[in-house]
Amino acid sequence: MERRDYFILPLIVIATVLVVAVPVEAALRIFFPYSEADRCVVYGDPRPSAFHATANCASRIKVPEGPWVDMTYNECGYRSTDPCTPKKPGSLRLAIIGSSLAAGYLVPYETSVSARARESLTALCRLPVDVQNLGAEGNMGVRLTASAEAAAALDPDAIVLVVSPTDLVLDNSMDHATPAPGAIAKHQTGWIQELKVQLSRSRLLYMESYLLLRNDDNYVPIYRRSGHKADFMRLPLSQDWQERLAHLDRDIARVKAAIGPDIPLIILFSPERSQAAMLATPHLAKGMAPAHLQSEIARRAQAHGAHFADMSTQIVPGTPSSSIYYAMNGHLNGEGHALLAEALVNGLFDARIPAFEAACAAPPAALAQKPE
Amino acid sequence: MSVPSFEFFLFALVAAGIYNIVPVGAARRLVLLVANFAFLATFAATGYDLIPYAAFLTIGYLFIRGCAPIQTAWAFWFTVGATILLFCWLKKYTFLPEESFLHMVYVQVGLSYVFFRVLHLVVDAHSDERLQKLSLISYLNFTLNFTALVSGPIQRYEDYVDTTETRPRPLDMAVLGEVLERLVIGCFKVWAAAAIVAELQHALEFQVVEAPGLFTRIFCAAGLAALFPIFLFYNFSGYTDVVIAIARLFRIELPENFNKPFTAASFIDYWNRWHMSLSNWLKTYVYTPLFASIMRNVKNPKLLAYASAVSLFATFFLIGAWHGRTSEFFFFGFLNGLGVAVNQIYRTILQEKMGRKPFAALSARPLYLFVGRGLTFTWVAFTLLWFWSDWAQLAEIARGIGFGGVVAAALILILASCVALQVLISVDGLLRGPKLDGRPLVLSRYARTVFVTLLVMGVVTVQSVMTSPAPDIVYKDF
Repeated sequence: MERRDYFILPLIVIATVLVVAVPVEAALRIFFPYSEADRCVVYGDPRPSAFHATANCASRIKVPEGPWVDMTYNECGYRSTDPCTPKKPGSLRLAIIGSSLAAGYLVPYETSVSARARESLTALCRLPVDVQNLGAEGNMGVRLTASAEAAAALDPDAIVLVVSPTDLVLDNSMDHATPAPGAIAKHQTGWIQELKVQLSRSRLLYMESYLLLRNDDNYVPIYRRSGHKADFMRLPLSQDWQERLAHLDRDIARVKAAIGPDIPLIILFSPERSQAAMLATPHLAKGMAPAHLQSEIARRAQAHGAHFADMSTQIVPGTPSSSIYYAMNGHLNGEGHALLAEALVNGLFDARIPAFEAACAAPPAALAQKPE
Repeated sequence: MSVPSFEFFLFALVAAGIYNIVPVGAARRLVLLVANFAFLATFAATGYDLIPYAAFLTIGYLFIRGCAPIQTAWAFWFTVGATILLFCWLKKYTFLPEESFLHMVYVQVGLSYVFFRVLHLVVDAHSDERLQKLSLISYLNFTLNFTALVSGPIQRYEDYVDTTETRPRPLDMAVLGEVLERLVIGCFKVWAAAAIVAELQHALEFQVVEAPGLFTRIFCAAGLAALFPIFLFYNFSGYTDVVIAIARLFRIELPENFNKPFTAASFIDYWNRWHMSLSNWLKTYVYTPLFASIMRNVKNPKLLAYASAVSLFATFFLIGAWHGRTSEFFFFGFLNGLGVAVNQIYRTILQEKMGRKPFAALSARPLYLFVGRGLTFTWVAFTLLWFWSDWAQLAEIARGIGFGGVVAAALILILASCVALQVLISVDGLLRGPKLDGRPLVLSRYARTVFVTLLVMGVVTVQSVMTSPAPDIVYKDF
């Protein structure tokens, strides 16, 4: 081997990688576009107002592994096909609050939790049903209270707060006047940071990771190794997670205070993708407690007089988590929202909310759970 | 510990690093011994699981040191017979009574390959005085050599000693580059090529029974038969590439196991190119003694011409039967024996009728090679049906396409393999055409670097795309 080969051979390796990777990256950018920011959502309002969308706005978003999704908002800036006019007499109204998960982020409206819940309730109830979705990315903490006040002003028959473990992490940061979710890390300078940013935007790496992580056997072990992120499934709960639960406890109390005693509040829990994978495939959950956090949340909900509904119970054993979540992005997809809606409707009837009990026939699942 | 796996690579790299740092001689032998024990221990849940393995090795060593110096026929046959019987008993061959087996979980990984090494020493020790003084550490390092423990290749002791003790092979940057290249090629074969072919095979296994049209099912049957030899080649030769490369880090040169087996234009030639270390071992210890014995005992010169066919049949029947304990494997052995025996008889008859030189000229003709390769591949694929499948599955496939369908599938396979193998050979010839410094350009280190980089990218991509892990090494179970 000649001396020059010590330089030439590594250069050949780099050149080969580039020759292959650059056209593939270009092709992937064309065939798997990425447009994550919902331009309708207004961030950066002074606290304590909720993040909300511009009235009558429409935008299109997409993650590489999902379809193009139209995000359209009504005249109040809520994601609903129903007008946000005062509630008509002889009708039922449901208001949904929470973050991007509640808003049905990355999911076409007709497959989102609000549309699916509306469809189910319309089939079950004698009265017309409308659903106003006030969810928006980042709406936790103090912003959630503002959102609950807005929801209560719509005079709904029940308010549903959708929460997930990610929301609990978000909750903590929202109370500290942090920048809006889309505006993070823009201040970083230097070519190393720039390179990192560019690499993190690489569609090739994104798709490579997607293909790898869509398989639960690969994803869950990696997630379990990701330190504090997975600690909500480890017992005893870490200090951080106990604090997050305490924040949620405070949030529920604030929301309850904001909406008053007459409007029933339902806390609807949506598990994290890794949690769903462990619940569906128990051998992946060895040494973990994937159902613990929801029991803690249920306890806190009941302590504040709120009802609790859990999507975890709707997950059929053996379901690959990538069939109900966007594998890389982590939000629920349309199939996941179907389970969330099912949990919501069952939760409404389990809670025996008078307006719904009087006007609707309970779904079979709720009937099965009803005490004699 | 799986081979290949990242754990295995890490383990081997650490062991090789220490091995090359310590001085040549006893220290290196000791490092290798520790590595061999450590590797074997990864397959055991408790120390008890290794007791039968240790007993087999101990008895083998006692035979070599104790019985081999007794220069009598009974001592020879006793030690050889006892070693074979002990192996069959530990492997639980079904011709032995079930009640006699050990009803405990114990390590069997690589036992077949350890058996070949021990038996070779037991046999040779009767005629080789040096082996009768074999040290325990050399014996253990040879029989338990972790780089070749799981599925071979099967090395002769003389070759092993030559590369480890007499003339350790050099290890410089160029060799390290070749090691890396071979590792990548091996990993690509196992983790990408074999994995893809296995997926295709699973898809066809379903289609061959469920597809609505008869023609589709016939094509699927032909494809299914063709895919397993290709899968097995990638799976086993990939493993071999990996272990040969790893052994080279210990300055050990393991024997090659494959030499473009599908370019063989006859079944005998195929076995000269496939699992070469096993077929060479069996030729040395089964075929040659058996052939010599027939030559000594058969007086009729006409029958003598067929002695080789009989010996080949016995040898290759044993190769097949060695793979497993079920009737499918015995039939696989029978078909292999039949294939080489018929091939040998065909050669004998044609050589008698045409003469040796005209037959050699005929065998070298392009059309003869074209047809010979296709027929050989088809026969290989046919014999392997009893390797990967069972009687019930084969009967279901045969019922699904009927006798005519089976014949049609065989004809499709012959034609397709004739054409495909010719295309491969032509492409290979074209690629080797352009020269750089008198050598084919594709073999230059620059072209190979590009090739290896592409293979790495291929492995990463395939591993990401596949939803299930690549199949384990098939020969690990034998």
